[in-house]
Amino acid sequence: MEHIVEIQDLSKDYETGFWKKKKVRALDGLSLRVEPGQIFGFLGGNGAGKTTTIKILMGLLFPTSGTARILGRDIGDTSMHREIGYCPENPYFYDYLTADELINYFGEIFGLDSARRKERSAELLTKVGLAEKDWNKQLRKYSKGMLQRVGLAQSLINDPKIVFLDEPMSGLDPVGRREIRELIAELRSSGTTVFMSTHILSDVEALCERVAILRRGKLAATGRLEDLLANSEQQAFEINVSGISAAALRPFAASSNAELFEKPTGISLQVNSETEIDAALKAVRGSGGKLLSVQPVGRSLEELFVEKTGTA
Amino acid sequence: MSKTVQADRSRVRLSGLVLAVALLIGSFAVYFLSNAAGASRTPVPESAIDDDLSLEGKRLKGFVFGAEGLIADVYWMQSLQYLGDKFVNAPPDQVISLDDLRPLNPRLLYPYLDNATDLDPGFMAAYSYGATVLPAIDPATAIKFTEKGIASNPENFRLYQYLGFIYWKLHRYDEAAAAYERGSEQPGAPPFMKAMAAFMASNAGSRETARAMYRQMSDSGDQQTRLNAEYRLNELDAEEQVEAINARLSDYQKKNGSCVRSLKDIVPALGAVKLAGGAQFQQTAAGEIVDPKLAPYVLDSAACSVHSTSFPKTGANK
Amino acid sequence: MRRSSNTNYLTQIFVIAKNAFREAVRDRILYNLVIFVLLLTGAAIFLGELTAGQEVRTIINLGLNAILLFGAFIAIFVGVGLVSKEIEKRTVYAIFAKPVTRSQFLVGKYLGLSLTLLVNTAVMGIGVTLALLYVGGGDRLASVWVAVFFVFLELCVLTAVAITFSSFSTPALSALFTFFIFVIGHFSSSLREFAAALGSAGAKAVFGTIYYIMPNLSLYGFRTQAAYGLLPDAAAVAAITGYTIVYIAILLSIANFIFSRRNFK
Ligand SMILES: Nc1ncnc2c1ncn2[C@@H]1O[C@H](COP(=O)(O)OP(=O)(O)OP(=O)(O)O)[C@@H](O)[C@H]1O
Ligand SMILES: [Mg+2]
Repeated sequence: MEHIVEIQDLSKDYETGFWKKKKVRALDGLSLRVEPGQIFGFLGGNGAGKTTTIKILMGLLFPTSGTARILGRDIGDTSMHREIGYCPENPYFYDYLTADELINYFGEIFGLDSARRKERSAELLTKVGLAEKDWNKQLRKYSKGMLQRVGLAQSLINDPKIVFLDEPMSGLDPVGRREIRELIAELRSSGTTVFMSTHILSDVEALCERVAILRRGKLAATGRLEDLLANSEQQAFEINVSGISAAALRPFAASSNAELFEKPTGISLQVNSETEIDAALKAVRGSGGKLLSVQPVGRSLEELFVEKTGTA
Repeated sequence: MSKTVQADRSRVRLSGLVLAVALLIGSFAVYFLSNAAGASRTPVPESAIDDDLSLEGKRLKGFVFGAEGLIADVYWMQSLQYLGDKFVNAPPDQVISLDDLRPLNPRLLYPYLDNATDLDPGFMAAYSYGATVLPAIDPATAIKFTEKGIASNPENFRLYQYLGFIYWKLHRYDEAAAAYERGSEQPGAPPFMKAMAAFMASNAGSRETARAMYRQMSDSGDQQTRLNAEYRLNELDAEEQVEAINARLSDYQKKNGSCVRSLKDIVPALGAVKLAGGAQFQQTAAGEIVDPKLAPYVLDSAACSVHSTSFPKTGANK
Repeated sequence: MRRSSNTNYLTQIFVIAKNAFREAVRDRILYNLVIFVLLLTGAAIFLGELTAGQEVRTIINLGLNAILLFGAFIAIFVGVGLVSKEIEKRTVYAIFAKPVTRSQFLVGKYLGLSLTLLVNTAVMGIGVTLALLYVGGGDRLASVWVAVFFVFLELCVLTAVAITFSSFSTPALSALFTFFIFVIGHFSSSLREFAAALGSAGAKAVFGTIYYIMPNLSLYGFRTQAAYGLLPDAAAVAAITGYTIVYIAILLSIANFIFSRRNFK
């Protein structure tokens, strides 16, 4: 088995309206492969189709067309679920159970005996950073972030080969985020593949080797994170000047698609390629400006994200 | 700082006090208003008390989620309540005899019992109650009702017994005999059914037959019927005793030319009388002759006869 | 949906059923027993007065019909929420990512509520038994327990109806439909007789169809008979039990067919 997740031409239409006549295309011919042993970041703007994809993989939604396989087995094959884990987006569980009872319940579903369940429950709840005093509290009394932690704990009950995390950091405080980041890194080093969707780019930069960026249900980009960031066709440069008004440079900015920022020290002009530097400097000098500095700009993930998801 | 905390606390305490006072006043208001509202309610018209609307129950059969038995019970309780209310609400001067309940106009009693037995055709208590009470209202419905019971429970000898009883009360002895005869052929019918059939043919009007009749009714289980039968048995005893006393009184009058001044004068004579079943007259410690309810017999010197206060019928018998 | 593995097919159903029972207990559903006991105690004390010595049959009638009524409430209102509440609250997400098939979940939830109803009905049956012993009706106990068993069977059918509706409809509508089936199920045999008496061929066909398609709940009515201490013959009990099992199996198959195709949006 070369790929742990293989998604082939997956499309999903949500039927809405009273007669289910209206269709909303949430996924549009998505194909994706994930290799084992890595942390895979699944990115995209709100409504891009991340949750939809993960729910199809978990068998919660049925695709309109296309197929997908996890661990080499079709997603319709529930027996594969013995070896996977899943933490839903904003997870919610039986609120009449305590965290400990919930983990025990899922443990029973996996056929763990009671001694093993007890051991696993304590181990997992500690791992996700839940204080022991909260273990025997009913989940209805849990905060959002606490539920998120329980969600992560339950997804690991069966030592899965791959775990699907839908926005695992949402609702967590800064300390919690760092703890979970460490937990995810630990999972990878113990050989578990992690497939996580997220909006938090710093987490992606810190954790993910590979990412896929989704845009309106279509794959906008995929590959190693480094490659994607380096792979920009053009290198951008920032030119800082002073002594002139922004208005003077606006015609140039408009014609060369450069970006213009006002800063306390003067004006910053960002051009998209080396060849445009000369023209920019000419424009600056022409209007009597003073050059402060010229420096190359590294492309950030944020820019990549903005470019690929086109949030407009 | 601590001052404001204290002020806050006292404000909390004050609002608690205000609430307590408000609740107290409110409770009083509720009490009086509820009474006032209850007193000034528009009265239900007299005619609505015997409302026929409550009598459509039998149409519910098959449409009450299998609760026919329970609804039959409700009709049964209503029938008891209905007649009981009629008794309680009768004008105090009205004399009511168990043999004629028509002055009470209990016109819904039959429909209640009819409903109960439509919903639950095996409801024996309803049949026995009907057989005891309905003859005093409308003998024809009493017979109809019991025949309906026989039609649904043809093997139950009790219903033939009730039918025989009703005919006997109506002095229709041939039909009574026929009913007992049919009943005696049913499985499990006791020998007395056969005996009663014979009685009806020979001396149907006798007190002995009446005694046997009520004794058997009293054994038939239903509490209302049993109470009624026991009353009747006592009444029969009182009747017999009144007859015996009156006989001795007229003996005394013949011998002495005047009526006794007190019943005590004939106590020795009464001591010799053998009542049915070898029973003796009962006396109080003060030597007064008493009826089966232990009420002293009352002497009417003018007529030179006695009557029992417990059993008004005995006096009127003469 | 394929089975996860044969050895665990029943285990997972059992685990889910156990949890559904726990849910019912934690939601304080069994508290209805308190009301029932109060009702019965009151009845045992006061009925003697009101019924002129007929308290044995009245306690049986009252008790058994109350068991059905309370149970029907639970079967309908808890039954329709059994699956739909889990979808609405999104608790199904984590479950179905585990090795649990839709059918296992459905059957497990169903059995969990049936177990709840079994406990509820049995405790109420014990209540009626005690009340009967108190008023001296001990000789009718066998018939009473037969009737209690029949009530339980009826509640099982009703739960299956509720769960079937809730597999594709909203809880409120499902409750309405289930109540409707409860009514029709009780009336269908009377309606059929009615139609037969009317003699119109059309009416006969319509009500005959209703009679066989709808659950024939009048079959489970043994409460009035129980008040007489009657007992059904073994063949009748076997036939009714068989009917119940087959009917429930059909309903759950339909529910599973629909539920297995549902998207959890
Ligand atoms: N139940 C639903 N009914 C109709 N449309 C839906 C439903 N759920 C999602 N959609 C639509 O499908 C598209 C994809 O939604 P999805 O939840 O997969 O996005 P997402 O990438 O997870 O977004 P987010 O980052 O906000 O969680 C959106 O356009 C959304 O409006
Ligand atoms: Mg999402």
